Amino acid sequence: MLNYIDNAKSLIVTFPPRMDTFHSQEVENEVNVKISQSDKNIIFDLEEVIFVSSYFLRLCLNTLKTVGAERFHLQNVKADIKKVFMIAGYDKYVEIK
Amino acid sequence: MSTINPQIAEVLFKAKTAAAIFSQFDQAGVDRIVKAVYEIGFNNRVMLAQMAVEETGIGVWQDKVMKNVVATQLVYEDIRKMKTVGIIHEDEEKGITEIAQPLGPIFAIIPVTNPTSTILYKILISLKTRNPIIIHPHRMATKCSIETAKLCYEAALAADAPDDCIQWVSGFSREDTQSLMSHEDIALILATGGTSLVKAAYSSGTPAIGVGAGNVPVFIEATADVKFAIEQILTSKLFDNGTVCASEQSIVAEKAVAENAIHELKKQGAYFLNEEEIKKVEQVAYDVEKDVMKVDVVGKSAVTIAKLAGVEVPDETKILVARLNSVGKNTPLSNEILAPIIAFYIEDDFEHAVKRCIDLNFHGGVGHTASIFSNDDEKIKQFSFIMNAGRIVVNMPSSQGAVGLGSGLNPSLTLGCGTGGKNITTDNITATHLLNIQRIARRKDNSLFNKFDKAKYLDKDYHLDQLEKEYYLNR
Repeated sequence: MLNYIDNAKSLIVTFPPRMDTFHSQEVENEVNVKISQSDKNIIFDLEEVIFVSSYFLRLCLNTLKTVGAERFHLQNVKADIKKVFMIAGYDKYVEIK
Repeated sequence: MSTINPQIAEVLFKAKTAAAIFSQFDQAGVDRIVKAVYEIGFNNRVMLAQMAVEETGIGVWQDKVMKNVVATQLVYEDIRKMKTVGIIHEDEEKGITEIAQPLGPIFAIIPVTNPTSTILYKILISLKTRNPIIIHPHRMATKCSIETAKLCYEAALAADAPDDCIQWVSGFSREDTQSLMSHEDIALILATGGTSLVKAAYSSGTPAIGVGAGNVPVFIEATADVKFAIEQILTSKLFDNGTVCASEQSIVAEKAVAENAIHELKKQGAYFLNEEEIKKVEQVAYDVEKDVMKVDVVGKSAVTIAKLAGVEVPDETKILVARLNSVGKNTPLSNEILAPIIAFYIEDDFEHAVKRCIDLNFHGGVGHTASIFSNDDEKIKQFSFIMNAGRIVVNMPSSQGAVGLGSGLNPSLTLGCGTGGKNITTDNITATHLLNIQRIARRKDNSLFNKFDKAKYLDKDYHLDQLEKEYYLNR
């Protein structure tokens, strides 16, 4: 379900279109393991994502807490998904590109 | 810098997240959730009604069931086809498209008189508009309120609603509640409750929709069917032992029909208090110093109240009637008392009766409701023009008609009282009040305006009559 690009500076995790509760729960462990094994910057690529659940938002927040704000951001976020993060106030914590 | 209670911070964080997730839902998804909540609410209407009466000691469970029916079935029927997501209206002629957006987290204050029904109704209209809701139960109705909220939440989640779309808080201090109400993450306060709480909501700095106190006069006009009127008034006033804010508080009868009204009242179970008995009932029903009704009588039966007051009445007494001649501070029973106690005035004619109704209307009931029994449509209109009431119910039980049961008003458990009641609207609050409407405004050329020589506007001697000739010349 997830794609990973491990380059020199970053570990990029690409997510599928619907990150509802079920799918977010499914990938949570896998993501956490990958992150714990990397000391690079962590980027969540949301180019294909069209729906996020509160579970996914928590996954982002927990990742932020684990790696720190300097090493984590979201990229290729669609406008309507960006809006979701902003309504939830997550833009204060997580960099959204 | 003040620090926020961590419990409050958590509630707000969850509500804000729920609002974000909810904003993604389409109409079909929203309606699925609303239907699921309606079903669970309706199917548990009896259990919740009984629970409410058991916990609060207020009202009659069978009538609370009917309140739950209004809050579920009637509210659902009213809102089910409402468009509350995406484009909700297009006006091609004006070039305007309206888009519905949610407000955000709603803080819902719940009264002790209608706990379960108010919660059911507020949850339905909030979820219909994609707004997460935080329920603040009355401290005397915590158990039944939380049970109602829990049931609804489980049903909502099963229909794929966002986590934390329904939350409830209890045991918070007054300061914490104030802090929650005034927090920037709360989009709206829906305040159904006593005056002080509604005032606190409006003073919080958060947009609020509140209610006002009702001191409903019911006018029996000379052309009324008196027997019918009394039947309806008693049906209304005895409904849930008088706990609906739109219940009649005073009967004002024209002299021509007064004797008949008294006869019918007595026949249908009313007990007319004598002067000494009025004084006794005043003591238990109204706190003159604080200028509020006493909680001890709210929702109690007439016989119970009489006993409390040390007044002997027949066992079958349904309502206590106080024949009064004045309205105001020195006449406690001319105030709103949510119980089977009603004042009775006799006035010489239509003019005097309407004046009396105005006295009552302005004595603690501005903007709420007024009622009339009449078969003269002109008189009904005249009466209505003069009253300051958001609802004027005609020839029906006021406590029911005002909330949309048996009338065309939107079914609602929160009745706006307009600026007279220090509210923002006189509407029966429903889902349409919980939306932010965005409007796309397309360029619309006004050919008359475009052709007109605008320099003429700068000429101070250019008058309206010239404008009307020249501007509209090519219409």
